[in-house]
Amino acid sequence: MAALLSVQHVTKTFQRKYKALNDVCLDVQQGEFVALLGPSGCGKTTLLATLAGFLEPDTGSIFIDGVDVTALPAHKRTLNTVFQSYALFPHMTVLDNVAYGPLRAGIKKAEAHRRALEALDMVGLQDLSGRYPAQMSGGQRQRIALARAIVNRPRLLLLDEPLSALDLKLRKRMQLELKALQEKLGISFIFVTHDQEEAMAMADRIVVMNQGTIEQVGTGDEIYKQPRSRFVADFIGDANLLACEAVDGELRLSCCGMAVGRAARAGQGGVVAMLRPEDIGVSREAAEGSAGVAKVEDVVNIGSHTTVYLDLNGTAIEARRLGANDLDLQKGDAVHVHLPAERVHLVEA
Amino acid sequence: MPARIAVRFVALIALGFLLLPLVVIIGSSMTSTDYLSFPPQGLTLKWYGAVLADNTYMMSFATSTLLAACATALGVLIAIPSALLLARHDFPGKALLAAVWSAPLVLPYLVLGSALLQFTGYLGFAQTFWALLVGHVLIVTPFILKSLSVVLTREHMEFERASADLGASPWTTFRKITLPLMKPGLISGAIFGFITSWINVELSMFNTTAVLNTIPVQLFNYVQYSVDPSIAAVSAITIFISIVVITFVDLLVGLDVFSDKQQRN
Amino acid sequence: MSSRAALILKLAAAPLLFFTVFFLAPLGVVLVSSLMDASTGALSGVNYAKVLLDQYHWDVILTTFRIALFATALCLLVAYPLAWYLVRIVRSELWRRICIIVLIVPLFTSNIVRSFGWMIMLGRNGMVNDFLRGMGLVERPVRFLGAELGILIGLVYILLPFAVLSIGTALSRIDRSLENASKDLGASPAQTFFHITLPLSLPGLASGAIMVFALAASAYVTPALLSGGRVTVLSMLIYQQYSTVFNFNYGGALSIVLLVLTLALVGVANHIGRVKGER
Repeated sequence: MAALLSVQHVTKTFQRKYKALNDVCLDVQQGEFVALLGPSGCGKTTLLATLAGFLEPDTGSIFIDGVDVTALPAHKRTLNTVFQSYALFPHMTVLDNVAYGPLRAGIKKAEAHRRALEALDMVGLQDLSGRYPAQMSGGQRQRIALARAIVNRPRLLLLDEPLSALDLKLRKRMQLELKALQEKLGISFIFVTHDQEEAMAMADRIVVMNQGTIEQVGTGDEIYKQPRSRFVADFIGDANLLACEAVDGELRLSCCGMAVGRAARAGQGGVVAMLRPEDIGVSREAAEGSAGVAKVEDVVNIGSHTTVYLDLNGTAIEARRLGANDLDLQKGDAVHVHLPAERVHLVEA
Repeated sequence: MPARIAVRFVALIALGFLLLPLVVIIGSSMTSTDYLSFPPQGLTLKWYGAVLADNTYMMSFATSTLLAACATALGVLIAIPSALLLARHDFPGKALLAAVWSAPLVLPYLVLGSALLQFTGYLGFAQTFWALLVGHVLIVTPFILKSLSVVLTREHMEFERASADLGASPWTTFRKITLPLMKPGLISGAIFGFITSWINVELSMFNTTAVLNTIPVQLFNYVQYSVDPSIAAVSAITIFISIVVITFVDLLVGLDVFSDKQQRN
Repeated sequence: MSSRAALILKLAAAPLLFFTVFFLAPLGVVLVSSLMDASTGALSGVNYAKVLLDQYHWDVILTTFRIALFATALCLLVAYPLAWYLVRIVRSELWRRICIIVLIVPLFTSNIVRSFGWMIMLGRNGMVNDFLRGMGLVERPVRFLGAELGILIGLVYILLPFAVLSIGTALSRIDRSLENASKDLGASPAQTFFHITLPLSLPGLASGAIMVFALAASAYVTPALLSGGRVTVLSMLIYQQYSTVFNFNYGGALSIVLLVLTLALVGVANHIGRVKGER
């Protein structure tokens, strides 16, 4: 099945020196929920603007449904955008805002208003159609922006950090609602966010970006368990990145000498062993396969889990246990650390 | 606190200082004597009657108003595309262009006026309405440009993008989104530009003649030879118009220029 | 990119053309004229030599600067408290708006009208002299008209609104939390003002002062009317050359000198304003 959206080798440079997008390639299928994830300045918003048609790429092409739209101006592209600032027209009522798209497409006023009310109903705001955006709360404005974008039934919807202005509880609720809406309508979503929990919660696939390039594309699980680069390992979740040395053709952890694999790629700038905090075991008594004795530097208990900061032979290690501090660990305690070799994932340094 | 009291005192004196000459002119315009006198001796409106009956004054009034209106209209037509260009696009030489377009705000009108006299003289239309119009368009446009650039913020640009995203052609976006949102800035800029043109002396005085004259230049000429209450009456009329227009602008867009909006953000 | 370049060209064409023809070209003509010898028509610096080497001109230029300097200083002295009052002391929005109207109405009244008001008041038998003599402050009427003092008062009046707007804007942009931090650390209100508020308002103050000075140095109507023929400033010389003597070459040189001075001052004012993040 041909991809709904195909981005091929897109590059965009600003003011002749700042490379915002560097040879970006991406395919998005019909009905997919894709998240563009990365820190500020990684290029995700620039990529979105290029897809929407607000920016022209310097090189590369963009295909929607097999049609080359690279040179097509924004108002002729059949996708829609939800802006970070919502961009609701302040001088028009909510209804007129949502009906704007259909009216521009030549649909008669009565029918356009009917469709607008239908879209507002989908986001639960049909009773507020006569008000002005200035009278609405942040969460309501977010939904109006959404209704305005989906009323045209686009095949592809671009969302630029739409939930970043909402407080935590509202945000989590909107995440579920958006996901449900997307599944119900079958629209492909490209969702920009800098919050990796949000990306992991909502997306079918996550595109991790850094400084204009795509570092990795995969499901949340793939990215979490098998990050392909140090950046991804570090950016997604918490990670212990432990230095390795090649000894007799084997890779060993510098902090305790434990073997973690073959030294096959030792020549390429080195390799680092990643272990997630929740995979690391901590115990008071020595146990089979203990990597050594570490000193407890700090203990942070937030109720749902406890993070223990350890010093193992000079190397800082973060371990995490579910639940409260059941071992009653204190600063300065000496504990045994268990580093499971089978959970180690090797990443280029 | 003594400091606060002192500041209050100076401030109120300053406000009185600002009003004083205007009050004196208005008062002098109503004196029944044939010479300027303040406080006025006996109150009468006869000087206003004399002014309104005076053909030269009425012609100058018409010229001033027509000139200001044409200059403002042309200024709007020039300022809108200029403001959009500066707000939307980045290109080499943009800073220079912006500087040139706002330069008339900071250059001495006298220099501009004399330069235009020479230039229009070479082109053969010095001391005509068109020569005056050219200069006035130059000084009115930057006001409108400045007002518009305040409105055309990044947020405004997003509205235009949203409109395009929803399928509106560039012209429709301009008609339905850009223009309506520009209105407050456009109106206040146009009004300030209009007044600037109307009250101008240094630019107009080079290209006026006995027949083609503006009120400020006419007053300037008269005042150097003889002063009588009719001059005060004309001056008072301009003051009244100014008060009405400024109050109108305040009611329309609000002149709370010192509000601590920044603090609330 | 060509479609965008074409669009830019279309948007810029008409305004650019207009400004080039009727703004830059005339100034260019003045510049060229200033470099031409009036009698021979050849390129020469004789006009500038006349301006810069003649004692009379230096006197005029110095007079212009002196008056502008005093006018600026006086202006600022009055404007700062008024600005402070409007920004920090006035609580009622209605009263502030009324005050701002009082500030702006003179600004949009013609220079001639405003100067005329002072002509009425500053005469030998005018209001001000009557008041001074009535209060016993002077015995004989003070000469205001036909003296630098009268021009000074007139200029301060004309420029006060500019100064207040400039300083007021700078004051309204000061981050109050900085002043709160100062008080939290134990500074009295007076100390907070001198160590925190005043220094922070200085860039706006300086930038406004420079603009006021530039306006004062290039003013024509007010000095012309209040000088009584006894004081000459640079702008009056320029006017003479263009309207009575018809020496556009010499007048051009004088104009360019004034122009360059004004541009330099404006450039400095903008730089100060921008460097300190006022914009």
